Parts: sequence; structure tokens; C-alpha cells
Amino acid sequence: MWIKLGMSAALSLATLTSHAHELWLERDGQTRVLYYGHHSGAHEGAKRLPYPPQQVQQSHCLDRNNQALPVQPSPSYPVRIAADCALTTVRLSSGYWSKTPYGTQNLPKDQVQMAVQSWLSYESVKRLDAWHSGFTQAVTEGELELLPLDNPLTVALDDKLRLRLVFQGQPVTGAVVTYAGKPRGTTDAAGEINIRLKQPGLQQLETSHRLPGDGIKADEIVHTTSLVFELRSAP
Amino acid sequence: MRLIILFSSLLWAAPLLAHDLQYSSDNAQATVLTLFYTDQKAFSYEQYELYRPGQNIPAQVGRTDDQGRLVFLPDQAGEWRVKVFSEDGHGLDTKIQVTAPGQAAPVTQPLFGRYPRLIVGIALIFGLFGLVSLFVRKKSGGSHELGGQGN
Repeated sequence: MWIKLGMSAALSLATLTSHAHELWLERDGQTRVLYYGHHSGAHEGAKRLPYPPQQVQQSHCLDRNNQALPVQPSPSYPVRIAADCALTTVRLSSGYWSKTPYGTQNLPKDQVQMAVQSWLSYESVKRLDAWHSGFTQAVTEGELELLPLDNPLTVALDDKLRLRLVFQGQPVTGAVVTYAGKPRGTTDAAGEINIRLKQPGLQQLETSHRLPGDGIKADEIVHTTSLVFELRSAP
Repeated sequence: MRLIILFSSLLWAAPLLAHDLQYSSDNAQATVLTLFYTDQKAFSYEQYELYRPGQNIPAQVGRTDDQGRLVFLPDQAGEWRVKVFSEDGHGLDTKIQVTAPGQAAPVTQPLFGRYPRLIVGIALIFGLFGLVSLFVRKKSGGSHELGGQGN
């Protein structure tokens, strides 16, 4: 009788791993390639998952002089930005999501039964391959953006990078920022946070901002953004 | 004619009787795993799989409850594996060490530090799995036979 055994249990923290799907941009020569899946903390290597390329809504490309280059995202998976951008941004939307007791569906609240939670999801990613002082300012209009306040490409491993989170030009306070998939802190009253860079290679910082939805199709609008860059060399 | 109708109705009733379920209700100590996001939102109604130590076939599958809880009754010591995953891409794959019988061992985790975006809060390890009824066993007197013939 198992009840008599009365087994106790404790969580083994050492084996704890988790994941959340992420967006990131990889450099492929003169092209930037958009991927989705698991990158941060994936010791076995990045796991790429397909996504509908039509979810991409917008992209920006700035050269080393902070000048915009005209770019057109490719229409097929994986989406490619064919330009040697110093700064690349891509925004997409996976649309409406509604959670029900029987699972989460990629549909608005008014199209499912027993919705207990619903949201409209926007995701964006920004990759830096070179630096210009103008990159401390928002590139997009009205979107959630993580702004490096210093050149992140020259930050040494184990040093801190200061960031500001803005949405529609205003600082976002109290947002949890993750680094390599793990929460590292919350933004302060100025929307700023210091993050210590601890891993070599591709750096990924991510955060989200929730706003009220219309209550009909979605209870919330969730904006998620990532900042991606590579540390050039280990100390 | 009446005989035909009765016989017909008995034929329909047979499968119901054959699949009749019985149940019992009991008290037990359970392990409660509470899952939530960094913004404290519960990881509710999401799928999970629970594996006994060394097993590839899950001992339990289902969905977390509306509070983001997964409740199970470990029947052997060792590392139990829990996998949880949502349709929009969040998840967790972890192991829970089931050790000696006895004491409760509440574990909480800080939001920041080494822990992942999806925080596992063991708000209570060793929850009480209900204080409902002591031991209720209900049997319905179903039969696997077709029953007698009417006249």
C-alpha cells in the first residue's frame, strides 16, 4: 500500500531546465536569417522550428552610418534579409491565442469555447552586427524595443551591459528581462537594467510587455522583444 | 411485439452495463508541483507527462489545473521526470528527487538567479490530497449478462 510508504519528494534543482520559444537572427554572410525555436540554454545546439513566413510584418535595416537600407524579407522559410545590416529588426505576429481547459488555440477569444485567457501576440527581434551611437535610440515606431546604452559588441565576458526598454518612446518599468532564457532582473523607473554577459557567442536578451486587449478577441496584447548580438572574443 | 421491444431495449442496455465504472475515494499525501511564469501567471491547463524513475512510458499524463498545479502520488523512490509544455512554446523538463518517507520539504525559488523563465515553485511539496471522504466505495450492481427474457 503506497500510502504507508509515505514517500517524500524534493525538487532536484540541479537538473532543472526550461525553455520558451525564441526568435533570433543569424548572420549568413551578407544576409540575416530569422529563426524560431530554442536557442538559449540549448547545450545540445539550437533547435529550429518552422514558422509561417507570412507572420513577418515589418523589418528594418540600418547600415554602419545609421542610414536605412531598403530591405524586403524573403517570402519563404526561413525568412532572409538580404543586406549587410549593422542593425536588423524583424517584427512578426503569431496572432491571437486563447487558452481553454483543453489547450491553447491559435484563435481569438470569440472563436473558441471556454476561453479562460486570451492574448494577441507580437514578437520582434533586433540584431546588432556593428555599432553606431544612434543605435541607442529606438528604430521602430510604437514597438517594444531593448536599447543598448553602450556598444554591446565591445562588452567583455562577465561585464555588464546597460539597457533601456521602451514602448512607444516611453520607458517600460518593472519588466522582467531574461538573458539566455533566464530571468535576470526587472527594469527600473527609467526602464533601465544592467545585465552581466556570462556566456560567449550569441547573446540573447528578451522581455515582454502586456497591455489590455479589446476584451472581445483578446484580453491582453503581449509584446515580446529580443536583442541579439555576438560577443566577438572571449577575454 | 412487446417481447421484441423489450429484447431490443436489453440489447441496447448491455454495453452500458458492461462498461459500468466503480470508484473509491481516499485520502493520500501527494506531491504538488506549482508552475507559474515570472509575472506570477499560473501555467494553467497545460499538458504534462510524468515518468517513474528510469521509465519511458509516462505514469501519468494530463493537464495542470487552473492554478497551474500538477499533483501526483509517488509510489517509489528515485528521480521522477516531469515534462510540461504549452502550445505556444513554453515548457519545462525537470526531475524531482523522491527520497525517504516522511517529512514535508517545502521548496521555493527566487525569481532571479540561476532559475529559468518558467519558474517552478514548489509551493508545497507534500500537499494534502484532499480531506474529502475517508473511504467511500460505491458499487453499482451491474451485470455482464443480458438479463432475462420478458413475456
